[in-house]
Amino acid sequence: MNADQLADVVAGVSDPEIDVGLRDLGVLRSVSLTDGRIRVHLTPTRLSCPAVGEIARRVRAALAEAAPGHGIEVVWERGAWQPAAVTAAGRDALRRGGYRVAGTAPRCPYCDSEDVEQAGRFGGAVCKVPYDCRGCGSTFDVIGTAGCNAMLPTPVRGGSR
Amino acid sequence: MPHIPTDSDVYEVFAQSGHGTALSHVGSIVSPRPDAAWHLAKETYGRRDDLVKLWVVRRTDMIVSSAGDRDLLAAKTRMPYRQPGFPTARRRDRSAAPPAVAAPPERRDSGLTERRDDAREPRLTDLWLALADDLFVLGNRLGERIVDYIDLEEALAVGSIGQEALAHAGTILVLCGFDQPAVDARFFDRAQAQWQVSRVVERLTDWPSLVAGGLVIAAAVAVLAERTAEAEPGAEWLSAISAIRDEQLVHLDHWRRWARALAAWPETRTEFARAYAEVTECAGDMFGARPQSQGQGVPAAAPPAGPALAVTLHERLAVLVGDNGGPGSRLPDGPRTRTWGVGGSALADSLSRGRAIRDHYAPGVFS
Repeated sequence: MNADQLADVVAGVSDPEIDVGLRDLGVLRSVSLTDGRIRVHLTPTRLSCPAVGEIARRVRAALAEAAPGHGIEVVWERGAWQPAAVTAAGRDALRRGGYRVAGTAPRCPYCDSEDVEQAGRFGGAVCKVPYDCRGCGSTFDVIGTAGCNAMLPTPVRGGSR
Repeated sequence: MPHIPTDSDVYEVFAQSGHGTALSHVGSIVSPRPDAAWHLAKETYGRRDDLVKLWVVRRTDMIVSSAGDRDLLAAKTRMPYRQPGFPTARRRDRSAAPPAVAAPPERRDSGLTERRDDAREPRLTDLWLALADDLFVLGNRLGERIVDYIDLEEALAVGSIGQEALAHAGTILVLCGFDQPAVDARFFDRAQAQWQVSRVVERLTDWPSLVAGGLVIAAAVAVLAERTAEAEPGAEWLSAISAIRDEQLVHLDHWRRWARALAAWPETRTEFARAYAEVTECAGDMFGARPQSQGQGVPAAAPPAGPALAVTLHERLAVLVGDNGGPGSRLPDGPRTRTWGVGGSALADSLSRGRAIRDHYAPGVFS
């Protein structure tokens, strides 16, 4: 297998929390193959992502099955994730799962309304910012970094006292 | 074991005596025939009072618990922190507990002795390593408080900020050239006497002080990250440093809201003013790290962080703290030097808890 094929193997590995592939989520940066050694460059959506261990384990398992006998090295590029790295397919998969990606004006993933309100600055996971939709009453999360969070236009409702 | 009773002529009687009351079990009767049971129950339990409902069920049609079912009946999913008395009991237990022993076990000392190399000027790396120590303790102190909150939003905020403080501490060490085992050894196997935390850390005990301390530490990390990014634009660690700065600015904004709120409420105004004054008075040493023997990188080629740099950073910190924490800051006019062995019970607690948790993991989890 060449490096492109190996990259496709890694792309097929899903995120442990949301059912979306690592390439579509923008987590996969590159895969290289030199002298029988595979180097996978990944980036967590957030520095404190608790899933890095599980993601690395899944990547190693998938590569060991697809291309046995190679050394595998997983390199985490810290802070390199950008919302723009999420592919169109990734955005669709996230929307179906009830998520939006930071960087554009957030719309409700369920009813597509733009009448949404940020419900706080910290969500159930460090990479998520919670939102409420005033159109259909749903709650959803926007996935993004702190830099993107600062970019989001909607003011925080109530705040934290 | 739950079982089906065998006494087929016994009936259980349930009655409701008023609209505002519940249907409840009132007793049992013996009846030879099912059709007579209801009337017998009416005679027995409904003679004096008006009843709204009367239900009768044959005992053999029920599944009932036995005397030995206490274990089966005990709640399995009852989470202590969801019980109404938990926060109060926890605060009481904490305040009654003796302070953690300051000296950690010597067997943990895995050759990480710091050379006290005061002959050399501190570098940016030394400043980062010292702030990583502060972030580690802050993250631990915040982590302890997650369950104290009835308010979900605040629990999420404190949990996220604590988690990120720990992650930033670890990331800083990686940027300074530590691999993962070395990161773990530095945080969990180093004697307290070899930590170089700020004097702010020993204040991180009550909530108003944590707000003030969180604010000061977030501001200091943001200031140092900004300065580091200026030192070597285009460096490969820049994205990580920028992410740390951006995330700490979000934390700083959270603490700013808390500081404003605590300073505004009449009930908390005095206590917060005292905590804010005490914490800022201790915060002169944010950039006062002494040279440490460990750590390279961030950025290896950067100039020594001499006295002039410490003054610049300190001035930026003073502006940021005043802007966010409000008036009443007692930050010293100039930077102060750090020393080893401070941190008090806040550091000792964080170390002993971390070690206790790691001791209970299966062998090989931390390899």
